[in-house]
Amino acid sequence: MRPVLFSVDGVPIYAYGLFFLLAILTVLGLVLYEARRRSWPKEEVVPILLAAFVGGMVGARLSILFFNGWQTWPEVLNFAALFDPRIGPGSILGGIGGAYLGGYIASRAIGKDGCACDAFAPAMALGNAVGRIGIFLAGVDGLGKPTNLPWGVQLPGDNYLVHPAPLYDAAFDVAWFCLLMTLRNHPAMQNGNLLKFGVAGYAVVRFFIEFVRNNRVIVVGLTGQQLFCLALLGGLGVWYLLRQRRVIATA
Amino acid sequence: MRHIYAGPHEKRVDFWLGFAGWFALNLAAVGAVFLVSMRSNSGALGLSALLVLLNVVTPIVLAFTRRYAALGVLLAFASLFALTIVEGIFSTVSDFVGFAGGLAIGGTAGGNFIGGTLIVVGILVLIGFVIGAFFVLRRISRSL
Repeated sequence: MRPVLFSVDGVPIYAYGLFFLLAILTVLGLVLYEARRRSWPKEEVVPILLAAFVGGMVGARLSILFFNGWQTWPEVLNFAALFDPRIGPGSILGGIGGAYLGGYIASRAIGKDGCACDAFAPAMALGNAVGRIGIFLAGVDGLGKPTNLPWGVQLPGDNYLVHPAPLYDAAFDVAWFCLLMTLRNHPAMQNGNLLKFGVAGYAVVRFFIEFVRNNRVIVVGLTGQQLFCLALLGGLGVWYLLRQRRVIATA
Repeated sequence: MRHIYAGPHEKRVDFWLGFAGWFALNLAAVGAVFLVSMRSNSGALGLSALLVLLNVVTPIVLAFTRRYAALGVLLAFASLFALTIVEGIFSTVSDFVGFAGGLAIGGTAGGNFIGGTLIVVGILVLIGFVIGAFFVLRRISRSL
């Protein structure tokens, strides 16, 4: 672990903060690249990207109320604390949800035909992978549960090995990014389908990774993050069934 | 009711009103929260929560009524978030750390000590950020 990557004249450069910034820049760069490739006009790119960014940041923080418990509300609902760099952004799952909602509302507000959100799918996967490296280096939440597996890692001050859960996440994200890049031109993966596929895949894998993480269990042995993933998959399942019914009715 | 813009000038006025208005109103509101906190902590917490809610609802309502004002609000919101992320290189240690020591300089929060060198670095980052933001804003404003 290396929470402080290096120091410049006594000023610490934190792994978490640096990799979070790199993750945001990765997402931004890839979305702009995809937007250009898809000939997405800048009148649409700017508001949707801004809304997704703000929605993601607010969603990441607000979701802590659910994941960490209602007792966190004085910090989570403190407006000034939203902009306190000493308090981390929050949960990536809440960030994905908030970004999706923000981007969707902006799309509807500007009257965009179809869904531009597919440009976000590979970007979110690669950005998440970058962010997870920072989380691993920072040793967030003790990384994972104790393990005897040969790839277990030892945290400073502990005499046992733990699952390097953020690296599992990052490895999947890199593979998922490659798959999403391969599928991005497929006819069935347009109009929001690529993003839904990408988010669904992440939700499935994250559900299982949660079993080796140290997050707060809420009900029936499941963490808030697992319940969020189940709700997300349930919502996508309902959307898929409704769409199939509409297709059959039209035919 | 969606507002129909007469031309680029009106769009720009709305955009800048949204951008500057967001900073002005939130600064005033945060000041009010601070004043209330000297009399009642729970009142200040409630007011701050209301402020978060208003900051979520306002851009959504504006997006469907005066969309260029909403764009200004979003850009103001995003620029402050971006600054927070950049400053986070020097101070963010984890994904969510409870608020331990308030905002006082020289205090600690989230396991961090806010020292003199860090303040200088923070100010330099802020200056660089403001210069960069100026050019981005100018470009967006001209494209309206």
